[in-house]
Amino acid sequence: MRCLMCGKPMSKETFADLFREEDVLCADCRDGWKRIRRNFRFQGKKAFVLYEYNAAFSSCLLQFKECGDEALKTAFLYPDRRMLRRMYHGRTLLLMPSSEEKERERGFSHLKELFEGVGLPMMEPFLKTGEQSQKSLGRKERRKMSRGILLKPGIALPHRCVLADDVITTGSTMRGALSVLPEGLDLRIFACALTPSRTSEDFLNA
Amino acid sequence: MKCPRCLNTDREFFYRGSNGWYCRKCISFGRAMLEEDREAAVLEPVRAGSEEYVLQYPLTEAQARVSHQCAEAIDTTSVLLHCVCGAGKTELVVESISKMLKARKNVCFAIPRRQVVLELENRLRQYFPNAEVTAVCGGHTEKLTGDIVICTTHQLYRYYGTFDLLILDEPDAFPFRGNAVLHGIAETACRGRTIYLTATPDAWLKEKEKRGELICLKLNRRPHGHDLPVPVIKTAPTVILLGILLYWLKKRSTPRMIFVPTIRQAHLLHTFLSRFVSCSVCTSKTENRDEVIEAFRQKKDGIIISTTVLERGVTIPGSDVCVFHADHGVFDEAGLIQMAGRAGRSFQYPDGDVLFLESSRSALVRKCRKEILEANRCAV
Repeated sequence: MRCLMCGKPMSKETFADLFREEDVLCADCRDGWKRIRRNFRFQGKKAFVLYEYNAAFSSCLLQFKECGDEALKTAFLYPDRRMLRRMYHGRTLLLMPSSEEKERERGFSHLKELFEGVGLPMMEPFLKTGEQSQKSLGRKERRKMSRGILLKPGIALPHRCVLADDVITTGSTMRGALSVLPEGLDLRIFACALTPSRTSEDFLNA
Repeated sequence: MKCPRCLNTDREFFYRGSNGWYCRKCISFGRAMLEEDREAAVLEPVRAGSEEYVLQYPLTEAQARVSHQCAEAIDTTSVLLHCVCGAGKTELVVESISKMLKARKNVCFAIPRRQVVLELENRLRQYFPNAEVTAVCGGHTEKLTGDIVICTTHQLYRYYGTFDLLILDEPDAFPFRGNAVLHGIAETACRGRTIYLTATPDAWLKEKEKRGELICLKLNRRPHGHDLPVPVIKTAPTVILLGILLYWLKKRSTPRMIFVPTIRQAHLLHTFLSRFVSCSVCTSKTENRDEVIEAFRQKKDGIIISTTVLERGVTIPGSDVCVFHADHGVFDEAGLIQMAGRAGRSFQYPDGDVLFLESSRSALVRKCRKEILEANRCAV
């Protein structure tokens, strides 16, 4: 088997390797990722991120999303898939929307592929609307929408769910999604990575 | 299976996504689907009159002969122009470019390193005043079409099946050398003939020549007609080498370039030499590299300590060259020949001095010297 990023062959050479948690990236590539495993509150909801958004993470995400390298879908959550499954047991992942145009260009839904390995039920309850389509909406619908995010009409949401995204940069997408969800849901928030400048607690609690 | 863009055939690099198979080897250039037919990029038609050219200096007899042979040969085959450093390789292909432009064919000049692209753009603009010369490299990608496209080898992925004449300058230089993806992309960007320009062909080019895929034209003489400077080799412990180096530096008042194998050594040597002479240092980590080189160029008796970043494409008139620790593993034969080739490039000072300092006897250094002697012998 080869490392998904650098293509170097990875082999199980020693006896100890057999017992080690396997990974799809080689140790050199994985070392570049900064694991922070941070718990915090985002608008009062429990939130969790695995990595800091650094150069190595961003180059992998870029290759996955912008170049369309679907093979990398396991690189992000594979080592933590079991932990996540336990942590969010009985919950449904609500995937954040990407713009339709981007998704058509890419030819696949990147979040769906990314979270596929975790093995939890997934839903895509949101719609992302550009400036253009906002104009065509009525006032009533427009009020419902915050920052270009809309709940798909007539969708039945489970009570216990997790808002899932790849990166929290400014948090505006998350905030938008939170504002269109109905009250009273048992919500958690998960992202693979968090921008380092945003790790200050006060920003996230605001 | 074969990638239509980088020509990779290794199955391990193919992956089946939700839209079909694609190649992961060249994924950084965007996804190339295997089953889809790639369409050739279409450039604007070549304009009439763009083929007229003026050279700043007339070609010497030998140059004119090789230039003419090359222009003839590209009708039937690809060409390797194996010319010594400073033989005027760019000028040698001007006739071929003009010939292709006259036939309204697309011409591209591709170079591994970005810095040289912008330099060459200016030169070709002077040679072809009526042609539209477009430089395409990192930071200059708004305009992609022109009569003559000059680009880095990385940018060739934009031009699938586009060029009737692709001129690959220094194909043995980093990062093109030994990079299978870039080789594949260069091959698929060219639908006609390729001209390779180098002083030091690597194994890949020699293999190509052996298979009869290209013909090799040689020019072993610089325009000023003097022999290439032959390196003097000194073998001694490092302490004594430093003494020799200081003596060598003190004896001269020309621009002197000292090449060292590593960045660390560059700084150490700089610290040591600064006690005796004023010198500057230039490595890939130097942020104001262009300024350092420019300052060295302006100063007529400067000393610069450099790693292999300056090994190619730099012309400092009348400079002398010393390679410190020439036996170090990072230097290869091509690199040593290129570094030696920095010396004696001007008409005013055609015989530069080249000194190789080694701390242990190295076969590679001697092979390099032999190559240079051989080139001088064949030049007549």
